[in-house]
Parts: sequence; structure tokens; C-alpha cells
Amino acid sequence: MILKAFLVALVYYVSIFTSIGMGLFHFNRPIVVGPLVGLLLGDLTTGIILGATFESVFLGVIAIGGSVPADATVGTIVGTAIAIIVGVDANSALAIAVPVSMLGVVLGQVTTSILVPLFIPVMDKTAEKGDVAGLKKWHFLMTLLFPLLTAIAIFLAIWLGSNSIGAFLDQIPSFVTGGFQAAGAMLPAVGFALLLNMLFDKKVFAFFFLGFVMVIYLHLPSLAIAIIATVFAITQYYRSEQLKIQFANNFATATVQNEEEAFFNE
Amino acid sequence: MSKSKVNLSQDEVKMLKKMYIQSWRLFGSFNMAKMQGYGYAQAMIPAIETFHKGPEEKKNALVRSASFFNCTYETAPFIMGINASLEKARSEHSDFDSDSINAVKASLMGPLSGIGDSIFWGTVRLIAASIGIPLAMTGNILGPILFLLIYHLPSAYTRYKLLYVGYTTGEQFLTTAFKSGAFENITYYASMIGMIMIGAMTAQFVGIKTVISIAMGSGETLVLQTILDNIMPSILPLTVMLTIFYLIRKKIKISTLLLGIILFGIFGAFLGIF
Repeated sequence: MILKAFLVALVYYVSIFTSIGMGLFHFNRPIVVGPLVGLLLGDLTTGIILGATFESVFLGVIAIGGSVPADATVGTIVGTAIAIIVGVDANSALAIAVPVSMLGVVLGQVTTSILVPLFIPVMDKTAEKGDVAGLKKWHFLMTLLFPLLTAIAIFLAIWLGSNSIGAFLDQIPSFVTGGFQAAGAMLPAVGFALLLNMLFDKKVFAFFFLGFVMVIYLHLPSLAIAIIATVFAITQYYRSEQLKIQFANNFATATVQNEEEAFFNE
Repeated sequence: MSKSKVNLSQDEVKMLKKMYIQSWRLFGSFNMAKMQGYGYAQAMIPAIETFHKGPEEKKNALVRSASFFNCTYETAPFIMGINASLEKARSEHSDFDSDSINAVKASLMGPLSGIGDSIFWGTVRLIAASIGIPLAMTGNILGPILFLLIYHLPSAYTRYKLLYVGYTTGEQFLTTAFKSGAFENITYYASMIGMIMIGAMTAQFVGIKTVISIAMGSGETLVLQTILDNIMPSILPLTVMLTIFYLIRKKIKISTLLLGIILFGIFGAFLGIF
């Protein structure tokens, strides 16, 4: 179990390092880390399927302006690992992943609000000295430090917890797992609502319903919707540019011909 | 962008290449105090080393580059490009006010994040996920691979392009963009696309259903979900989504919302609603 726990924690460490330190920004998404956990624990197919399941649950859950609603990476890694080790179905895995993803947020906050800021004064001093090599070194060290705390927590959780979690999952009544399934079905809405809130503009809000209807009545795939949306935006842009020119022209003629302007105003 | 090819010196081309590679590490030391500040500095180091030879200038430029920074990953290189062109101007004209460099940085972060988030987080990521998820659901390894490719190829290209455009046409862009309202324009049309995608995603991925059914005597049962589907498919997801959106507008904390949703789910399952 200690080896399995180490491998699972390693998936977290590597995926976060790749994501923040090497710029493959979505390497830490459920759809990617699920299969990685599966691969290392010897059940790739389950990993891929659970990764996809969790991706659709956590799809809306993204970091916006520093407020992360749930840590999709931690939730997926622990949920997938427990599901493969203990051998539970997707719904029970979800009942693990959702609460764990919320605990993951706390660990993430400790990392970004306490752990890394501890080194800010040192880095500031390095910059003030004009020490380029030092600054490069510190940035790299921070990238190494960033995933460490959560990785250790994952290691301990899998190492000490996976046996008892199996027994625990047998104990909990079915309405609780059912409840988590329902919560999982509602969870993407939180992320989408956050995104909506960020982009909110009264003038374009109606387009939300256009997208909604394109799926529920027309059953269009996302790519088709994205293309239609882009066509909309482009044509609207040119139309508004055209109107601007027309307006400017009208304004120019109107000021010359005062009588006509009076006529329009009537 | 510009048809007349700007002539870059050998050094500048080399510098931009280095900046591009370093820009991939933007989030490396992310924290709540300076956000991506030191990650941004990594990308600026090649420019600082190219333009500032004097130790004093170099120090100042390093400190300047490591100030607070937070921007969408894909649009940040545009600011890096403009910043590099300003560092060049600073190295050539000693009367160039260095404070204006950070002012430019600060004023560009917000608008560019808005554009970047709606295009990359709101649209490209969702397209990548909606192609990857169905494949992966069947256990196909192409699911995650396609997801990564569909997101990261446009992402990599955009960052490369924006870095060059920012560097070559940066100053000229700045003087016209704010005057002509180009930012408001791009943000407006980008959020239009974003809105449509969020609406579509709500219908595709918020999957809440009710299992309530009422026995109607004479052996018939009334299934509530069927009635709801007849009124409008996905009416429950829409209601859930708009309720959460309303609560977010009312400044309810996200953690409270999440806990509430879980309790609501468990309570609902207990009562036999879900």
C-alpha cells in the first residue's frame, strides 16, 4: 500500500509541476490525471473512464480570480485511486472525490497564502540585488515546493486511509451516495455560474439562453455551437461598425442641412 | 497583424524565443501575495539582459518585472511583448519614465484577462472537453490526448503570436487601443461567445433529474421528470444554474454554496426527490 500511495502522490506532484511549471496548463485536469492514476495502479481503462466522469463533474470548477471552489485535481486523484484500490463504482468514487476536492482547496490555500509567500521576502531581496541566476533558482524551487504539501497529504490519505475507507463506504446508507450523485450533477453549475458572473454584461446575457436552446432542442455538438457563436460575434461586429459609419455620415449631412434635421425630429 | 514586416535584429529574435519559452512557466511560483509576479519576471529576464547592461538599470528592471501580476495564461505574453519594447525604449532614452512601464502592465492585465478567460477558459477548454469526455467515457485513451491537444495547440500558438505582436506593434497599439475603445469591443464580442458556450454547457453537463412519481390509481403513475421534459427539456438544470448564479450575485460564499449543494443533494435523495 505504501508503494501505491507513493505512486498516487507522485501523479499529483508531476501533474501540478507540469501544469504550473512547464505550461501544459490543463495537465492537471481530471480527464488527464484519472488515466495517469489508472496507469500506475494497473487499471488504465477504469482510470480513463473515471477521469472522464470527474471531468464532467468538475468541468465548471476552475480558478477564477483566485477563488477556487473545489480542487478538481485532488478530488479526482484520490477518488480514482480509492475506486481502483478498494474496487468501488463511480458513484461511491464521487462520494469520495467531492468532499476530498473541498479539503484540497484548504491545502491549496495554505500553499498559496502561507507556504509560498514565506519566501517572497527572500525573492524580493534577490531581485533588489540584481541577481538573475538567484531569481531563476528561487522560481524553480517554488515550482518544486508548490505541489509538495498536497502531495504529502494525498500520500498519507491513501496509505493510512484506503482500507478503512472501503469499510466506511459499506457502512454509509445508499441515500448518501445517491445524494453525492445528485450533488455531482449540480456541481458543474457552480463553475458555470462563476464564469457567467465574471463575463456578465446585461447586453449579452440573452445569448446564454441561445446556447442553452441550441443544445436542448437542436442537440448540436459544442464545436458547431462555438462556430455559430463566432459567426454571430463577427457579423455583429461588422454590422455595428457599419452602423457607426452610417451614423457618422448621417450626422455630418444633418448638421449641414438643418432643415432636414428638424424634419427628422418631428 | 501588420503587413509591413518589422525588422527585428538577431538579438531581438533570440530574446523573443527565450521569452516565449520562459512564458510557459508563468504560474511556477503562484501565490496570493504577488500572484504570478515572479513567473512574469522569468519571462522578462531575457529582455532585461538584452537591453539593460548597467548593473543599476538591471536591478531596477528586475524589481519592476517582479511586481504583482495576474493575467490569463494565453494573453499574458502580449503584455510581456509590450513590456519588452518599453524596456528597449527605456534603455535608449534615459528620460523615459520607468514608472509608466508598470502602469502599462497594470492597466492591461484586467482587460486581457477578460478576453483570455472568455475565449480560452470559456470556449476552447469546453470544446476540448466536450470532444475528449465522450471518447474517454468509453475507455479510449484518445480522449485525454485529444483534450490536451485541442486546448494546448491553439494556446501555444496564441501565446507565441501575441508575444511578437506585443513587441513589434506594442507602443503603436497602446496609443490607439485605449482611444478607439478596442478593448471594450473585443471583450464585448468575446463575452457574447462565452455566454453562448456557458448556456450550451449548462444544458450538456448539469445533469440533475428528479425521480418523483405519483401513483394515479388505476395502475398509472405520473412521472414528474416526463412532465418537466414536456414543458422544456433540462428545465431543472436551468433552474439550478440560475439559482446558483443569483446567489453568487448576492455575494454568497462559494464554500457555503458547495456545502449547501451537497446537503441539498443528500437531503433530496433521503426524501426520494433525486
